Amino acid sequence: MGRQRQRWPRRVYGVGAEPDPRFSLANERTFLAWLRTAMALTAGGVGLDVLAPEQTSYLVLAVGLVLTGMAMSVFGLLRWMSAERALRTGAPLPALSAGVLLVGVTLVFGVFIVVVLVANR
Amino acid sequence: MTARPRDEVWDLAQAERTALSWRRTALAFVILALALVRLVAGVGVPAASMLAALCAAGVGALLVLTLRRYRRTTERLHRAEPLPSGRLPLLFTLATVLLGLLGAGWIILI
Repeated sequence: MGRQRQRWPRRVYGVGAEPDPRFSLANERTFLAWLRTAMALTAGGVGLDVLAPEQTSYLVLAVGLVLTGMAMSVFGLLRWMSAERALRTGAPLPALSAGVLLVGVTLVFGVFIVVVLVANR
Repeated sequence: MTARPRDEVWDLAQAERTALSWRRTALAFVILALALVRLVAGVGVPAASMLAALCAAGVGALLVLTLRRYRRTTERLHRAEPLPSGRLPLLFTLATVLLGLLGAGWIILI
């Protein structure tokens, strides 16, 4: 393998100095946790579609969950990048900004699912 | 190697924990792929077989890549070199997005 290939992404590895490897590894694990959360949302959406009756409200919820999952996985990667960048430059870690939004959206979905369930009793 | 031996033990423990995290994530892909194939099997067996073959190849590749990443990480920790890059995180993210697209397709089309 070409060990001297440019480390991807340049936006991250082109700045600063090598951080303590433990921080990088912890950052990686955080990214993976975001990914697994995204996968759980996707699975939840498909599961809802399979289990719930044929109704527009459930369909919208299911698609929404899957889309949120997809957004979350992309967010996880971007967050991993900015955190790694911050580690290399010694800057403070990025705020949770968009993450708060995603978690909020997930909560809203949870509430909606409960509402729809109760309404369809 | 500038790190004290004790530090290196901690580093290796971290690397191992991270490797397990990668493996958990790859296994989550395995389970979701299985579920998707099972769903598609209800629609048509040929389509499900094709999807199963593709998923097996894809998921198998992801698993192998996580193992390779762990090996490289430990090697580099020993040699005090920079850790592996962000290519595998990108690949995993793309795989998750693809899974989402397949899921959305299933919900909307079938």
